Parts: sequence; C-alpha cells; structure tokens
Amino acid sequence: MKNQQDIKHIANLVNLSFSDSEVQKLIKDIKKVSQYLMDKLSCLDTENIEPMEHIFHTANIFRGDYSTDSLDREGLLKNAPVKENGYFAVPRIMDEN
Amino acid sequence: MRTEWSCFVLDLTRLTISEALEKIKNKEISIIELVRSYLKQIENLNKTIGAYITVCREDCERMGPILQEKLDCGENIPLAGIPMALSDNIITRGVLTTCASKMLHNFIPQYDSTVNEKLRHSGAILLGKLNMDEFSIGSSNENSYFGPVKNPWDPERVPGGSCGGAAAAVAANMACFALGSDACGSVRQPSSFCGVVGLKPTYGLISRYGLIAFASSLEQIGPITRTVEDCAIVLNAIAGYDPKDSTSANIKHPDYTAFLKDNIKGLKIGLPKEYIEKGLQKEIKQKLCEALTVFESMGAVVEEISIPMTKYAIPAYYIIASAEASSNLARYDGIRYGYRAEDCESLEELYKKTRSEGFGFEVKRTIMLGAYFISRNCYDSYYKKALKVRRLISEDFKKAFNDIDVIITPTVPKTAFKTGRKDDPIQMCMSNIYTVSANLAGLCAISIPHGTDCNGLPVGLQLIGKPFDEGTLIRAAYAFEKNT
Repeated sequence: MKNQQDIKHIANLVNLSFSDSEVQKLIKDIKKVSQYLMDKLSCLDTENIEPMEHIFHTANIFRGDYSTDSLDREGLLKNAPVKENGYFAVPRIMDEN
Repeated sequence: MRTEWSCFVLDLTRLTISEALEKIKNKEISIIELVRSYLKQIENLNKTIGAYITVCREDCERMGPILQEKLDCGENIPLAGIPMALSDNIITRGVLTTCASKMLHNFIPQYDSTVNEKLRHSGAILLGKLNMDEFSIGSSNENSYFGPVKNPWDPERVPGGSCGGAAAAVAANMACFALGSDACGSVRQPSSFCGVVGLKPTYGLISRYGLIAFASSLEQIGPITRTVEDCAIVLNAIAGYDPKDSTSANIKHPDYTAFLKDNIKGLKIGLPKEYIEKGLQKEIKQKLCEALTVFESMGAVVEEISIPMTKYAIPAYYIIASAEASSNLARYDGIRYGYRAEDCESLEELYKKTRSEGFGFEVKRTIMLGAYFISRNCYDSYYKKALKVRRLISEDFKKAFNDIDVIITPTVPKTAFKTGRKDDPIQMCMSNIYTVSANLAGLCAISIPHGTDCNGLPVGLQLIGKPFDEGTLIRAAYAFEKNT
C-alpha cells in the first residue's frame, strides 16, 4: 500500500473514510509496519509447511435441527438506533422509480 | 502498592477470595459490608485510576441481601457475595457493554456471556465493567474512548493492556477478582505491570460466547486475581464446555483447587534461551535467575531448552490478529445496535460515516492493515506466511513439551513504561514478545508477581504449560508463591 489510491481502495472495501491528513499518516504507518513484517518473515523458509488457521482441526459444527428459544424481537430492537414498525430502519436503498 | 494509596485502602477489600468466603461463612462479615467496602474503594480511586467504565451500584446493593439470605438458609453457593468486575468486552445482560469504544457507547446487551452467567450462578457480584483498549487493540490501555487507565503503582505509568482496567482494579483493591481476555498477553502483561496473578487458559477451556470478538483464533477469557489460590477458584467457576461456542473444548476439567499443593519435587522446568537475550531488563533477568534457584530448591529440575521460532511470533501474531480483527469488526454498521451517524442519505454513506466516526484511529488502522494482509496481492506473502509460521511455532512447543512439564520465562521484557508511547504499533507489541507464543500455539500460561525493580514497579514471572494442563501451572505457581 504505497499511495493515496491504495489507501482509498482498501478503505472503500472496509467501509471507512479518512481525511487527507489521516491518509498521509496511514500511508506512513502501513508502509512502516508492512516493511517490518516483510523484513522479519521473508528470510524464513516456509515451503511445504501447512498453514495453521486454528488450534483445533474442526470443520463446521452445527447444532441439532430443532427449534429453541431465541432472543425476543422487542428486546433486540431496544438497541436499534432507528426502528420502524418492529423493524430495523435503514436509509432508502431503492430508487423511487 | 505504594503508600500514597494506602490511606484509601479499607481492610475488607484486601481479603482474598478464600479469606472473604471464610469470613462470610463464619458470619464475621456480611456480604453487603464486603460489597460496600469495594464500592467505597471504587468511589475513592476511580477518578485517578480510571479502571471502571460502569459501576453497578444499585445492582450490588440489591444482590447483596438476596445472596446473604440464600446463604443463611444453607444454600451452597461457591462464590457467594464475592465482588468482581469484567472487562468491558464481556457481554453482560442489562449492563452497558462498550468495548471502550464510541461505537458501543450505548449498547445494553439483551443476553449474557457464558462466563457472566456462570459467575452469577456461582454467587459472584458484578461491581461493574472495566476499562480497556478499544476493541482490545493496544498494550497500554491508552486507546480507550473513556480515557486512559493509570497504573496504581505509579500513575505516570501505564497499567498495560488491553485489559489494563482489570489488572489495575484488582491491584488497587477495587475488585476481588476480574476477568479479561488475552489474545497476545492482554491478561498476563497488565497483570505483570500491576503486580497481580493473570492466567490465559488453554484455547477452548473457557467459553467465548459473549466475548466481543477481536482475534477469534487467539483469544481466551482469563482470570486476574491476587493469589494463585484465587485463580484456581475462579477457573473452577468459569471453565467448561459450552455448546454455544463451537470452539469450546468438550472435555471434563479437573478441580483446579486440588492442585494447590506445595510440592513440585521432580517437576521438569524448561528455560528457553531465546527468552533471555538482548532487550531484557537487567533486574527482570536477575529476578528470573532468583526464581530458578527457588524452584530448584523445591526439588524441580531446570534445563535450558530452545524455541527457535520465538523471533517470528510477534510478526505472525500481528498479521493474523489484524486480519481477524478486520473481519470481526465488519459487523458494526450502525443499524442493529451501537453508534449511528446522522444525516446519511444512502446505506453506503451510513456504513462509512458510522464506522469512521465510531471507531478510534488505532482500530481503523488495524482494520486497514488486516484488510491489506488478506487482499489478493498480499494473501500469500503476509497472511498465509503468518499461518505457516504459526504452525512452526506450535511445533517448537510440542517438541519442547516432550521432555519438560512447564516452561519458565519473564512475562514482559521491561516493567511498566511511562504513558505517551502509544503511537508506534510494532514497538507497543514488543511488550508482548514473551506472551504471544502461548496464544499462537493454544497453550495455557500464567503470570505471577515476583517482587519489584529499582523503581518499585512489579516484576512478573511467566509459566507456560501444555494444552489443558492448567493444573500443573497452578501447582508450580502456588508452590513458588508459598516459597517466596
């Protein structure tokens, strides 16, 4: 990530926006960190080593196919910043036409 | 603790869990007296130390008499009336849970974390929620939306992080015990900086249901206590399989208090030579040597071992944790709970504005870095590389544990540092250089206090154990505590 365009591209992917001064700081910080990490790791030969994503070798774990109590709608909506008729409200996502 | 705080210290808040339980049982003190002593201590010190974000005064006043009555009626309640506190990334039903972020400044959960549910059923009383680095990102507890936490031993120094509030609260007698979460040392490093006991249990021993996720494959909830005995008592209350957490281990755990034995004859202790190289504070090295002598005098056998991959642990951690954090923090969108930006005309604008205004800069930088490491051009050279290094680190430890029972190291290379150094993320991570490998390899590890340095700051000693062998860690730590 070397320049303003790169930062803006990643920021767009993670739904963040930054001021110009923040972008400058991010370019500096990310360059420094990624260079440090590359310097440290690139000299280590990891050919033929299996990546280790997790401590356990578990695949997907599903609960049984039965109904259980879940959190109540009213309670969950209590934390919603904007709600309407028992639903979470978002800005309009479709064109009026 | 230094004398400037001692004038505030009330006697009851100095009691360990086992002492308080004994006094309550013998009717020397009542639960409400104990709880009020803690509330008073919090009132006196929190302005200076900043350990608490929320104090549950009314709930405490309500719960005290209820528990006392149950106890007086002969009910068996293992932690009846013990005042404790939780890091603010642990979900508490009906109690504000902020993760020290503006993003969750108003979030009142409608459900409970498994650990809080277990503690409630055990009779522990929640004093409140503790300050931390925002979304667990930081090692100094200076990255909180609610302000920094100060080290009770020296307010000009940091308490460590990310669970600085938890360690500071226990050290300053503002909680009898606390729970934090540890992804690279966030329980052990602050425990070392504040002179208390901190345990990172084996990955899978404690349910993570209701722990607000930061680095899911690395983090575990762990107790912070004043003594090893208290650590064993709390671990008994919170350990165990939980079907609500798919990464919870379906195993039966032992009674950890059964390991509180002052006998470690024949215990094989490994000292990794890579952990005592340059950068280690002279007095910490000296303390480590003293500890080895103590262990040997108790009949343990100490031998030098090698963990060659040690120097790659921080880089591997940094990449994996950032990648996982960028994914975990994608859920904050301003729609279902938490902060929501105003005056947004489109959904995209709502997402961006909410996230940009709701997260602090350090959190946003971590999200950016994490997304960069897993982006198409970097995936192999950063993320996949880090996962391969993780495998090598894990194998290093597996090999070492073929011949030894426990590994001994300093907890941190230097004692608590002064405030104001938060801007360099890599430098900040370096204080976790000795703690991070246990997370990458899924091991258990404990930090126990071992005296102070020339500035009067606490020094910590770390013991690392095999997966699910917390019992041996507790036995070794307890024996050491009793003989020093």
